[in-house]
Amino acid sequence: MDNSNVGRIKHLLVKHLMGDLQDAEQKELDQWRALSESNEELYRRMSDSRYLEKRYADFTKAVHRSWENKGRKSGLWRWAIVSLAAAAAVLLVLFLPYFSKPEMKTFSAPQKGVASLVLPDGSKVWLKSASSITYPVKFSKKAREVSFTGEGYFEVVPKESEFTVSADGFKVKVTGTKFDIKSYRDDKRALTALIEGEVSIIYSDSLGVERQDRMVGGDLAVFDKKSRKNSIVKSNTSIYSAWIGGVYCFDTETLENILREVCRYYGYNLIISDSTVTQKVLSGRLKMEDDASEILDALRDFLPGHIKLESDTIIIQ
Amino acid sequence: MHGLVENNRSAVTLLYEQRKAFLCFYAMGMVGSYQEAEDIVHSVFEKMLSKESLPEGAAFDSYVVSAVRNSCLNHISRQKTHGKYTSYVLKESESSEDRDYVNSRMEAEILWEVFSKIEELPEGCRQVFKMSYLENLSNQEIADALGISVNTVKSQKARSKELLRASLADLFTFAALIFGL
Repeated sequence: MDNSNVGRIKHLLVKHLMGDLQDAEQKELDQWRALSESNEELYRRMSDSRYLEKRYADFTKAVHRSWENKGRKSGLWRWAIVSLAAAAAVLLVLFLPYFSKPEMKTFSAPQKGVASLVLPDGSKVWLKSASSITYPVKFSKKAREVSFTGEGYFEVVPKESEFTVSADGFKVKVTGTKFDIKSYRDDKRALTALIEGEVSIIYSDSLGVERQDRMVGGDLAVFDKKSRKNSIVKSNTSIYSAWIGGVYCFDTETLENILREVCRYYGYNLIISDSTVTQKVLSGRLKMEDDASEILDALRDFLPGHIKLESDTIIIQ
Repeated sequence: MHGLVENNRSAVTLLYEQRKAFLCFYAMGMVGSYQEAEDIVHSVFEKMLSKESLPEGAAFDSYVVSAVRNSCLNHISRQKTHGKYTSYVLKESESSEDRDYVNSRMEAEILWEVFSKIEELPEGCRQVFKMSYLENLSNQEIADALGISVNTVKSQKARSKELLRASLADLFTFAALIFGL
């Protein structure tokens, strides 16, 4: 491939990202794609939202870290980092039409942060770090269906059509209400906290029988993914949406779960080699600052001598 | 760049500072973590110190990108028991002229530029853009928050998209671009 061709293909691929390709240009790009497997792969990567999202995170890290090492961390630069994180989400929105299947959109929260969006029906969703939601560009008249992973707080606008959230192995069906779902793929349990209104949890039990459990305001549903059992208890459910305001609240939670939550938020790996020390049960609030150091200090007080931090891994021994 | 013909430490150090962020970004596409990427880029430049002369200008860029790529591929093949890297390993061992190399470099250059351009939007535009697309505020809410008119919000939004399109379109219209700005 000669240089002029490289320049031309670059030009077309950028236009593809921006959604600005004309018919003739798309044809030209398609011809190039057909030339080799490698070209086709490059085109696919440039159309894959997850991949681009990851590369954006790489970009932020590369710019941030290589700058940091030069030892010139000024206030101005901090601002730039904040804008970069913001730009990540902007970018996603910009490129969305070209990333996902024609009718669906996916929105993901940035690392260490909270993102919110308004769905086509006016319902609002807040997403915690490492969470994402997929929803149609336009809801059908009969049903409003979204799929979701991670932790999210939903304020659903009341409408005649039901609003259904599909999470990992179960669904939450509502008409209009406020609730929080916590269903990360790597968690054994999924939590649904209902702040107000009514919802139903729909799942199939261990025998494959479909069940529907109704919840009212103040109920907390705990769904065990392995045994496929759902239990509903009364709880102080309002604490489950505190993270929208940057506060992590927990009520009689084991230290292990608290650590897991903190690590997920700040992007640390967690290794627990001695689980006897993490079975302590705690209640309290932690402010999720930009920097994890204060929280780590607080946790150290509970586990004197047991916490070790190695680059991006927290080890409990 | 002329300093590089007679290879000396300060010229290499300068180039390292200039190219490091991009090269780390490029390497991260293959090895994953920033730390590994930085180690690889660092050792590529370290090796350069012992060379008597180095290519100049655009040839230097090709030289250093393919050196980083080869180091990454070596690194991956050392780790191939980890499985997740196998797809890259299978494609190893090409000359710097082959298509995978050209494409991987082209991809990194495109993404680098697009990501950078978003940061270069004028502040007013960027702020409106951010509030609109990230925070999902309505035009009215943005107008209230910033103390400007709804029409200004609308035009800022349109302008930021236009600017982004324009800066990106210009950038890749001409062939044989110099990478890394």
